[in-house]
Amino acid sequence: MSTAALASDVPDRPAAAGTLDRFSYDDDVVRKFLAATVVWGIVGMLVGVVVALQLADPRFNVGEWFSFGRLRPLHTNAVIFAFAGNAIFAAVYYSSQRLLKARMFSDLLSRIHFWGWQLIIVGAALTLPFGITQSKEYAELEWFLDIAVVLVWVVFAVNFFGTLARRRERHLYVALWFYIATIVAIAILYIFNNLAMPAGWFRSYSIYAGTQDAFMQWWYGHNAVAFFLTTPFLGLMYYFLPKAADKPVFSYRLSIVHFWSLVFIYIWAGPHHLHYTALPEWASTLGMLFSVMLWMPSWGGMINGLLTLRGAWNRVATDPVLKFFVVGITFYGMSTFEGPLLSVKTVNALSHYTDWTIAHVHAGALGWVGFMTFGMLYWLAPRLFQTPLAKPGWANLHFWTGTIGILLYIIPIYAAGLTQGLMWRAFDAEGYLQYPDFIETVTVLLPLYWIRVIGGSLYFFGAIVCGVNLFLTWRNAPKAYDVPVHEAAPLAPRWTPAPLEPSEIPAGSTLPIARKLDVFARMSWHRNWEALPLTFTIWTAISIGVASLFEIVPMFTIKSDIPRIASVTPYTPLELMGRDLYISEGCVNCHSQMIRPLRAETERYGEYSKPGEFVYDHPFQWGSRRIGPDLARVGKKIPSPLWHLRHFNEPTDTSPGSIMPAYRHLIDQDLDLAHAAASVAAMRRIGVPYSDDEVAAAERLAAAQAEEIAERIVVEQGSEGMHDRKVVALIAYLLRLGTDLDKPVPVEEDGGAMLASRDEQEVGR
Amino acid sequence: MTQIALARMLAAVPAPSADAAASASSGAGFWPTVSMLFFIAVFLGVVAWLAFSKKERWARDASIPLSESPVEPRMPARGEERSR
Repeated sequence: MSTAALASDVPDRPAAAGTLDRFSYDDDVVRKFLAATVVWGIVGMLVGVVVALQLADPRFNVGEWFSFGRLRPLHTNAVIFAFAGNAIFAAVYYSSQRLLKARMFSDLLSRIHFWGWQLIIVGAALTLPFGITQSKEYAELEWFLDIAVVLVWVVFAVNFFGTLARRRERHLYVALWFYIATIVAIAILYIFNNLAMPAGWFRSYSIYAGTQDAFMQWWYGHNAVAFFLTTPFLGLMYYFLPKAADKPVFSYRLSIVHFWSLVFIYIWAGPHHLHYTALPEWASTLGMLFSVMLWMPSWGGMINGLLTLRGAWNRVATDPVLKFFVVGITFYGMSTFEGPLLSVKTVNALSHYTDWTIAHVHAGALGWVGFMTFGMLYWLAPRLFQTPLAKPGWANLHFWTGTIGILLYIIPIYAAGLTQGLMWRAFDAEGYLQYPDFIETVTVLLPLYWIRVIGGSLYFFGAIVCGVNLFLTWRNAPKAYDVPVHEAAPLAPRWTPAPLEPSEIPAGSTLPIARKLDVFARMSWHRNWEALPLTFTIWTAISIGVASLFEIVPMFTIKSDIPRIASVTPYTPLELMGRDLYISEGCVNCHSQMIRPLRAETERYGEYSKPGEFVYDHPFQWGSRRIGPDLARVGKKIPSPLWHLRHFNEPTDTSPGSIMPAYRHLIDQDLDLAHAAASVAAMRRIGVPYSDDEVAAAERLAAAQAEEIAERIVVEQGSEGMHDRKVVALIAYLLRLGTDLDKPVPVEEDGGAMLASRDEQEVGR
Repeated sequence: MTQIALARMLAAVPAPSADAAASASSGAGFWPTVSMLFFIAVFLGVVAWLAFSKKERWARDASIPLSESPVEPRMPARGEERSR
């Protein structure tokens, strides 16, 4: 084997018969992804600290573009798709080449992938603060960026699978299975969840509505966690942990169970995000059952990771890479224990909409994703920059500040979540809500929010230390990197799967069942799959696809799952424009629109929400947390337009102690009614029953309703001239929320009511 | 708990969910059971196969990352690195 080091890369070159191929790896693209990981990680965590400050003190909401509702999606997108995403690509590009003994399929595709992904991130950073969002969690990017994501993902997939085709190692190592699952699953999830109808360059409406949209979103949202924040990082673990520990993985057999169980089970679990909502009961139960089963593969993976360190534990005390990996895998175990726990309905009744979920997410994100990434970066940097780490001691500093930062983050937020949940459901001795004023359940959390700021800042400081350390290491790198040339035998063009081995147990020496078991154990189906990437990918796709279809097909075909309500009608053009503003401002980041059939909620917010109330909600706005109160019936509870106007001007005027930012820009800015027709027309194209006349008259109808609300504001002793302000549209939308059930049932032309009774309204037609 | 409180609690208990009724009438309620049994059958089959298979068969695959390349990028020792 040659060990010659060349000054330039050697591309993959097929060998003449009987000779070895000579090739080098493309580490330049790995260096690029490494740098991007660090830079975007610091940016994403900085925004995280800012939004944490905004919750502790609303005065940190500075201006229109930097309010919590707009920055929170920027934070989540930056840390998920920019920080974790670039880390995934660095891991995949580095490890795949070495596991496959082949340079990446195309250097050009690698560069298109890198720069394309960075442009998408910049696009997200430029659109989200401007309120250009689809409002679906972790899928906020608007349609034009979605198309870019799909194109870049296809480039990545072609590059990856092309490399598999050119490999010189017959068997695909377990890390590659997880990469395959990631690429296949994310493609399916991202495309189907983001199907939307554009209503202009910067706005689109999900083709799904209400309950179905909620189901699709959490099918995606949960599996974005599964296949973007879990499977690729497990692949990372299965490659970099054995390398760092210099030990083979503890149990390859366990990794097979781990992989297939995880890929098959995870995809079912999404509905556990929607317990007690208007989702059908069967889907909710299915999500809970499979979530509980996830304990099994998740802990199998954790055990496999930790036991890989057998015989190397003495090095954990001194090697920062192993320290990061050990704590990262431990957090994986903790998070994957807690996740199924939270999916149990009775636990979820307490935890849902509270900060408990936020603490859970951050235990996984900061502990598992963050620490696995940092461990990988510290392992890669000396090898990629071909010089020792500039400040080894700083890596230890980073480890400890990060660890303490995580604890200071999650412990107070767990406490905050439990406090919220218990206060929301507390009743006094007379049977009344003990804390009827929602603000009471907010202000009590503020000291805990400040501790979170400290914890988050410590974690952020650690990331900066890492960034400076890697920058100094890069500064010490040689002017020209050595590029080792590798040699390996090419694979034979044809490969025959291993035949079924006969039993070695002599016939008649034991029971026939023993011989059959022996033959069963000698079956090589999985080893054969490992040598056949296409077969392996197809089975992975089937595992993901079958599980998805088992839930999606019934959800879209069983009409009685979403009983329609005759009195629920499409939004008026002005309400639709107000809904667009609600989405742009990111109100869903703090307010839910889903009253669960739990006594504490019906007492506080009113009648529980029905699936039929949301059939025109493209996209749904049920939300996932309540920093502020639920708004599903706010129109019925607070029917005064002046109250809402005062609230947007200064929230503490109407709700002393509120941490909501003021939305004065909505009062200052003109309402552009010219968009009304485009919005109504787009809604009609996805099935909302607007007539031709309503589309044509959208602008006029919107103006008339704006005038009517403005007059009501004046009658209530409010300001004049609100009819052409943006805020009037948002007020129109809020006044509509929750009022449909009390409307008179539409009467058909022959004079007969569509549905005569309230019971019929609920059961539907 | 006073009688008033008890009466309020009873009055406030919501009616059975329309969703639950719909699930029952649609026949989709068997879905969780069928899905779980399907998964458990496949899972137990795989576990049994792996449990009976010989560990040595997997040893080479488990070591792929450690023997993946005859040439690792050379790691200069401290002081040996070239200036940039």
